[in-house]
Amino acid sequence: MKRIIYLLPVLCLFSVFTYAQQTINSNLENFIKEIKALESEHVSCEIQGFDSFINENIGYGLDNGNSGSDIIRLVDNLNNLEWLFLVVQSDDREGYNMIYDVLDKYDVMEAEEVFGIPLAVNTRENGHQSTIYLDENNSLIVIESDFEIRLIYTNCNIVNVLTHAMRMLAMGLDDYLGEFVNNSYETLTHVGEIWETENESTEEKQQGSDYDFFNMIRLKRKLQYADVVELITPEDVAEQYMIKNFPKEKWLLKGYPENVKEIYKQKYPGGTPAILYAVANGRTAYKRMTEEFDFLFNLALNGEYNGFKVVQQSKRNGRRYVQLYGKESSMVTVVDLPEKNCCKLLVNIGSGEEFAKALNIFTINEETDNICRKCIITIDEKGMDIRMPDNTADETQSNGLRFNFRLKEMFLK
Amino acid sequence: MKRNILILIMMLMLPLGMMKAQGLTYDECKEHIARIEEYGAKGYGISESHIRSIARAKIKEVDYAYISTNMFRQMFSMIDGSVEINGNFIGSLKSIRRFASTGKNGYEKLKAYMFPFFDEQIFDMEIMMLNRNGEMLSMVYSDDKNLLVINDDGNTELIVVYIAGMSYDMFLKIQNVSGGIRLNF
Repeated sequence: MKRIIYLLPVLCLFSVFTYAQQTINSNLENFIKEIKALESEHVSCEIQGFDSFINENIGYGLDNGNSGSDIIRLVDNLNNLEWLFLVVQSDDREGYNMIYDVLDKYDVMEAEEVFGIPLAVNTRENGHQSTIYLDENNSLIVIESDFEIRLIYTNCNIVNVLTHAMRMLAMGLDDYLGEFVNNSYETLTHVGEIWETENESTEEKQQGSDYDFFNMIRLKRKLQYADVVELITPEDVAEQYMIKNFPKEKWLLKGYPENVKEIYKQKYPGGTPAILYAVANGRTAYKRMTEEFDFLFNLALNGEYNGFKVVQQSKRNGRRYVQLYGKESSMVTVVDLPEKNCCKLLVNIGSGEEFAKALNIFTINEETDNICRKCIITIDEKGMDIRMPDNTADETQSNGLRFNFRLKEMFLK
Repeated sequence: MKRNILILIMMLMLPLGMMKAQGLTYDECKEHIARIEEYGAKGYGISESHIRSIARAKIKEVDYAYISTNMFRQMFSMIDGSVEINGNFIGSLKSIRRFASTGKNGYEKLKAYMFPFFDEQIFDMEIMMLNRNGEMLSMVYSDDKNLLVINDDGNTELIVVYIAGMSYDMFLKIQNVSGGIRLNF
């Protein structure tokens, strides 16, 4: 008898839970039915399989040589082909209103949870709104802008699915998000933009055709096998400067000195100058790196690669050295020292002057000081060292910021 | 009981504050208060209710971003990251909301909504940092669990970030972690 009494609350709870779950599910079903019923000259409605969905919505976003079909292949290997994608799109203003009425009815645009699916991301930017509701078995995405609305529902966790595939591809979304970790919170919200219009992705593709900051990040990840891989931006240097000269407790709690700007608020106008430096010392890393960049040593003087022109080239006793210049003072240098199993790569985006200018913008009021005169960046086999000597009266540093990569000296030894 | 009293005080103070700011219409004030009450009834604190309500106001010329804990974790897992940074566990993070004005009108409207914070009238969060540098004003509010950061350039740029589940201590700990996550505002 006692056992039955104990069991009763459990059964009650179970029934309530089941009932709630059924209600949620039936609400979701009703919602989908209503949305599908909107199909007309004003509203397009399509049920797609995984492959067509990826090709139409995701594949174009990959600018790393991988296509949507690569993802499909990888997901096919996961044996999950039962996912269906309902894609509903307004074709005109009337269609927009029709879809919006249904969304409004189910409170989709305002809620932090719909049909038991929690809100994962919501972004609004210049009148464009993206909302993603996500749980293990459902993804509901709503993209709205200028009286156009697009709704995607799928019976899987689309982020998980894509993560699996992207992980295998090693590049792509992984990089896209990796950039966030290296940069800022703001990029967090960009996951919503994976679903943005094709135009934007095309722009991204075009930007990716030259060496730029985006490509540097990808190159850095590709070079993970190397013993030293450093990507240095003016922001990194500025941060070290701030930490050294204005310890956190001092400036965070008591305020900045009058002439110091808050580095986090600054944004460098224009392209980000940056330096990527990679060293391979070990035999395996050396082998991979020389294989990777061997073609650069084989280019003829004045020969070109990807917008970069060979300006210096030298081969001596098996040692090789090549330097290429690109647009806007960008530079690529590679040194190969086979007797030491050592290969070094240096990629500069923008000139040292640009780097220095950005550094000043990130840190100090330009009229009152110039920290670049105090800053010496040295990189060798051990890694990067940013020194800011206290004695700033070193007039020999007339060019401001000084980089010391010890490339040519090393080659000429 | 305490919460109800606070909501009541808030209800009385907010219209005054809003009107004083002269940036919101009567209807906007009314709807804002109604939403705060709605969230208050659900058990959210006044500050959080306030922020949630502003998110629903959908102000023109103000960009808004929200990210949930689950999404946050999922993204960390995507990049093989960890919610533990240099021994500082940030697993308590619940969600992040960010508002950023993109024009003069958006700036004024958002400032009007945020008026109680500028006037230090918020009762469930304590001001931890206030820094004026020329026209630029930075403020950090916190209670035991949540963080509110406001950056105001006094002209067109106003950024408000509310991080549910991050204490001020944690905020200080994870700032400037080399090679780790950096929260930029």
